[in-house]
Order: sequence, then C-alpha cells, then structure tokens
Amino acid sequence: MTHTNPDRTKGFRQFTIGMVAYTLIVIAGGFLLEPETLTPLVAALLALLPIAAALWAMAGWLKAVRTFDELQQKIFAECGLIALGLTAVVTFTYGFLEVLIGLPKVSMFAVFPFIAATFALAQPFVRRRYA
Amino acid sequence: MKNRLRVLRAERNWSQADLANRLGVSRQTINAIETEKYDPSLPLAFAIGRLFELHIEEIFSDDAES
Repeated sequence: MTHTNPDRTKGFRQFTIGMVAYTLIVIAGGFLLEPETLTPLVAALLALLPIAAALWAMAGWLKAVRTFDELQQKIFAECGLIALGLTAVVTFTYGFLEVLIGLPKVSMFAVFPFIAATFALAQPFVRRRYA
Repeated sequence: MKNRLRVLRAERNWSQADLANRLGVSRQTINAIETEKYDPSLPLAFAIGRLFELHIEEIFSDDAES
C-alpha cells in the first residue's frame, strides 16, 4: 500500500479530529465546570462525555492501521505488545512500591502517555528486525 | 524460508518499489521478504506467484528442504 491510500488518510484524519475534540472537551470542561456544584452522578457522566470523541478517534486509528500491509501490521502489533508488557510491569511494580515503601501516588493520567511513549520507542527496534 | 524474489525481480528490471506497487504492499515488506527476514502470508505468496507466473514452490522453498 502506498502512503497516499485514501482510506489511510481518512482514518488518520478521523483520529486527529477525534483527539483534538477530546482535548478541547476536557479543557473546556475544566474551565467551565465547577465540580463542587455538581452531584457525583452528573460529574461522572460529564467526565465520561469526551469518551465518545476518544472512541471515534480510536475507530479512525483502527481504520488507518487496517490499510497497512501485513508486515506493517505485524510491526504495529509487536510494538503494541511491547508497550502493553512494559506498561504492565512498570505499573504493577510501581503499585507494589507505593504500598510497600510509600512511593508518591501517580495519577492514572500518566498511564496512557507511558503506553504511547513505549510504543514509539519500540518502533525502531522492531523495524530493525525486518530491515 | 528461502526465496528467489530478488533474482526474479532483477530479471524484469523492477525496483523494490515497482514490485511493491504491483503487489499493493510496502517497499519495506518486499525488502524483508527478499532478505528472508519475513515470510509472506499465503495470499501474498500466491499474489507473488501470479505476478511472476510461477508456482509458489518455484519461488519459495522451505529451509527444511535444503
């Protein structure tokens, strides 16, 4: 497949728009809402609202990845598994250390950037295996 | 798995990019197959066979055979 595959372009565009929408909704929510004025149920529902944008973005990402050829998909899958494994090891280890030696609490917000970073870092190593 | 893809491609004066375009895959995939770092799926192997008008076993050979 070439890089000008229209379905791939469409998929990545959907991913970008979805993630921008997600970010804007989250930022706008942070500015406009006053959590103390909301009931827990309403607060929870509002917090879940941007998920629709994130799910739409994820669908775009999958659409784009499905246009990759078989080796590119294999490389993506291997990078994903490495990211998943490293995240599992690091989050579990950190979780135990939080309890055992009182390491500072880390927000759940840190998990996704960690997955994304390990996914990106794995790419050159996995690609080199097939170069 | 061993293969004769590089030889067959060279006989036709095709670049890796030419072959990749004809098969609808990336140049990286052609390179990985030629260097025997990646074995293609059965559908891709059949597509390669059709393109060169050869049977799969005339292009690919199992390591265990040699």
